[in-house]
Amino acid sequence: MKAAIQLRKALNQKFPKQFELDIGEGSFVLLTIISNQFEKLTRKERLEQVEPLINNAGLTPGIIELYTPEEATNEGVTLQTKDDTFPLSWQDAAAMLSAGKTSFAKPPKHPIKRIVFYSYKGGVGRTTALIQTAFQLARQGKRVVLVDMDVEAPGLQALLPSIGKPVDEGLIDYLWERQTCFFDEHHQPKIELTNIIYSIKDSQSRRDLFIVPAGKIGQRYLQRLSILSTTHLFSETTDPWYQFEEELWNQYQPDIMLIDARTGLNEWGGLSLLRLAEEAFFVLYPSQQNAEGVCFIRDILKELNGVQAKLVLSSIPEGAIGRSLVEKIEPYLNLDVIISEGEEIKEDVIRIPYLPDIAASYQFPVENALTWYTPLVNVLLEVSGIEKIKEVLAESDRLELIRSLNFPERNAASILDTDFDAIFQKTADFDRCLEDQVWVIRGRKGTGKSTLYTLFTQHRENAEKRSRGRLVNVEIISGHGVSNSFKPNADVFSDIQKKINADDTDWLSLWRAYAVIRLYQSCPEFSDIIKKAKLSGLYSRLQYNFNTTEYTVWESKHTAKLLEFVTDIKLNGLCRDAITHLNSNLKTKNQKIWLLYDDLDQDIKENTPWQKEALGGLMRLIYDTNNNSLYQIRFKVFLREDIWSNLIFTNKSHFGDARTLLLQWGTEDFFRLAYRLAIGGSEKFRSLANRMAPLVENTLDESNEESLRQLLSPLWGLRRQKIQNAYVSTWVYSRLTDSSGNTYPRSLTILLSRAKEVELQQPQGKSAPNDHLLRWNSLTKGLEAASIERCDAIKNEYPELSEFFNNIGDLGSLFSEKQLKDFWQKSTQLHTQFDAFDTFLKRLKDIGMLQDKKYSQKYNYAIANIYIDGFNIRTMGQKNNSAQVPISDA
Amino acid sequence: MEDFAGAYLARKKDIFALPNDQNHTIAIFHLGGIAVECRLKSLLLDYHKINKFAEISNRPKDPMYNQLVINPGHGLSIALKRMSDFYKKAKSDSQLLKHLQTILYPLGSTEVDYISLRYIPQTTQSQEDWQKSFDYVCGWLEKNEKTIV
Repeated sequence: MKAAIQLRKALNQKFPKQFELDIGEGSFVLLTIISNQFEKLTRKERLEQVEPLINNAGLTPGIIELYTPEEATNEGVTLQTKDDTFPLSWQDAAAMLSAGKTSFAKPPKHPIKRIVFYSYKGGVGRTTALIQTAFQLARQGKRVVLVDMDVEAPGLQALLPSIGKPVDEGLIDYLWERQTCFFDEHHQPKIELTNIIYSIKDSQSRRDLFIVPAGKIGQRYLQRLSILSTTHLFSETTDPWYQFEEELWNQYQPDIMLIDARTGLNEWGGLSLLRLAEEAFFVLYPSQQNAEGVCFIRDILKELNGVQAKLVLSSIPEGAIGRSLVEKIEPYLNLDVIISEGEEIKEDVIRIPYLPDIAASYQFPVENALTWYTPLVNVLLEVSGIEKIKEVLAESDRLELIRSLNFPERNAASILDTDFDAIFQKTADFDRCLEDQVWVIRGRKGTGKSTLYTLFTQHRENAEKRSRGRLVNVEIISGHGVSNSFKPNADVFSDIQKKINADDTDWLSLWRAYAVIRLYQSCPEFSDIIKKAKLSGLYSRLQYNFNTTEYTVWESKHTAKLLEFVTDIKLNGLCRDAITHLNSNLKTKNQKIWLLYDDLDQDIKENTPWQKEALGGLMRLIYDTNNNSLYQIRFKVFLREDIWSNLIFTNKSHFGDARTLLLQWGTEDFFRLAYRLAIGGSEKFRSLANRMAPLVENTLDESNEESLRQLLSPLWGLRRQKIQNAYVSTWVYSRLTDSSGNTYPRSLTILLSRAKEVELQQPQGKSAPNDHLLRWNSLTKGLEAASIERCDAIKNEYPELSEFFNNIGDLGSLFSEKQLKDFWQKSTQLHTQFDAFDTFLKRLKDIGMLQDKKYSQKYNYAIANIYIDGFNIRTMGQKNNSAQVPISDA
Repeated sequence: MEDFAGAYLARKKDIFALPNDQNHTIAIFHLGGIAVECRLKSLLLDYHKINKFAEISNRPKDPMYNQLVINPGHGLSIALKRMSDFYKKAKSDSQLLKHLQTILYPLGSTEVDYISLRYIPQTTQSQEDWQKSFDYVCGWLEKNEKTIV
């Protein structure tokens, strides 16, 4: 089929509208050309112009008739170049395809969406799938009509019987009368649409479903069916089928028509698919006898009408048997595959298991089994969603909308203060962050650690909005960080460590004493507790040295006093007692205090021999407090991931997954943020989004990945290629994610800002996508900008790797371990910073630069996608994604 | 008025009347082509239920129904294509297509067709293969006429 299409294209270029082409059995080409290009040429010379085209397409030259216009006139040869025939049977369709023709069905005059459910063989659950889908669509607010075109074995009226009025006539009777009987002013049709349609009510949604049965089975039905000329049912716009549709629209205005098609290669099955299907579901049992036929028909439908039917594997047996059946059948289904990021993305197949509830049911819908059919519903809603976007965008000024988009770079302060409601997006980790058991919140730079710290310590009201009551009875105090200006800085900590080192005391006590000071300053009750507990030595010192009204800046005397609390055994003990008393007091009131620590990556100097000891001390204090059952006082330390992973301290093994939280922007968090950025920055886009999905803003945090992708589709589109299981949103996420799975909200802002700029420079005419604002090319440019920013950020973050970053372009995107080792050996800086190759390698992996290529024989590692553009790295062996333009944007 | 069916039979007779030696090969190829052309034209009229060309097809269910049927001239495959049901059958039989090609271009696909052949004095081309093709095409048309026309 593809060869014929190729030849037709080549002939169209060389002899436009001057040829008649067909392909016979054995790839035998039947070709007649009438062209003045043949003037004064011998037969042999003429053939030389044509035969290479045939051979290039892999076909066999057969009957090739080549005329000049004069010869053709003399010999009475004419061409039939105009081809407005539509396939009416599978044979027609296959013949058209084999001749390299395609069919473009005229769009219907009404907005009813026609969806055809087809199965190659019967008894596979096709009608059940149709009914279950119909009910769910009704529950989603769609007006649905179900049409039985399984005319030789109609069953819809038995499964969804009419209540009250028995079916006397159906679609076949209606079509027969319109085709056969004569009408004039005295003779009007007797079979009205209302005679052949009935409704049933869905008890849950209280919505009506409209049923058009095939007819009442009997002699009259068979007679009318046998004399219906299918050729003249669908050819002209005045033909009976179109009269039926027009009346249906005028009287019932359904959104969706679900057509139950005839099985096999039958004429009626062919008609409903080839002439009517705008979308199609092919239902099949996972067996080979189904696969061959389904693939053949699916290919024809796709190539000829451009409709890619969704496959629904139905009645799959339970357990291992079913799994094995599906595995065995999948290779025979000719599923489409696209390559993305070097990975194969296979077309999705909907799977429905054997459902005993359905087998035993006499009544539809079968509620217990409805969820299995949700993927079918989602496909249709997705399609109708895109159409709605097209509709809304068509009514809007596209350029104006793009101009209105606004993605300013916001700092944590503005996000938490003025823009909180519009922009702040909690990640899925947020709830875990609220757990008492989580002591360390790890994350790469830019993942929002400081934002969370600031939210809890400075914007409690806003924190409560997103905490669902979990902050009741919790007092949050900054243990260390930007929220209190009165704090030791990096220099001071440096001095402190010298003293601790000299006096051979330990960091645990230091952190405890520091915590006592912070509690004294932030928690008025603490003074009373210390007084009551008669910890007078401690109280007087705190009162004298750490009074907040007197001191706002940390001075040397504060350092000295803090150190005294640590080095003086008595005072050290009093600090311990103070914490214990505070805990008891809190317990009686059922209250808790959280102490939050941030900025330790800056204030505890990096790469110093004492960094590990200092931070290890804090961790030991946390562990110790818990171990002593001081459960009312909880610590939460926000720490950069690589610092945490290199940290060694006693009992680190107790800081497992339950105690620490790796802060990451998961797919859903990322999509939610993208949506918030889009609606938060543009009132126009917000109102457009609200027309598409009203009220979603309030429930955004509960939306799942699929609905989030759809919410974002007006912004940047839905799928990279139609029907393919490759989404634009997922692509953006994966391209902004490093090899450790970290994604950076800032990168998204940069990507969107740049994409907007580029989009405004693109032509906005017909070439602009009609269902989204930012096209693929704009997004890829945005991605480059985001990558450049990420590369700058990582360079600043890890200066010890600057030589690696500066020369990474030479290495390429993929390399072997040996190549990387040579690179490390040649670099003086890397050699000095990392005495062993393994340390260097681990570092690159820790910071998310390097990805293992486990399945590649040639390469061991790849550079994470997000760094490719920014470091200008040669891509090798991977697909260049910017070149993969989706069909919709091409 | 043209009598294509009669012309077909007459040209066929002409072929057999010619002595079967190389001096008449060109004439045989030429007349044989014309015989097939006549046969196809006669079928075309019958198929569309018309008496002469430039009339409207009376064959319901055919894509050319209600359209003018024009004389296909010397275009053998064009004549075949104007009979949708015949053409579908013809395309499914690669043997017929090959033999028809031989009738159309008796001296080979790069040489002139059976009409222009009349300007060629002699050929050494064997008649045997051509005869097989001729028999197959005539036999095939006769056999399928029964099921289609």
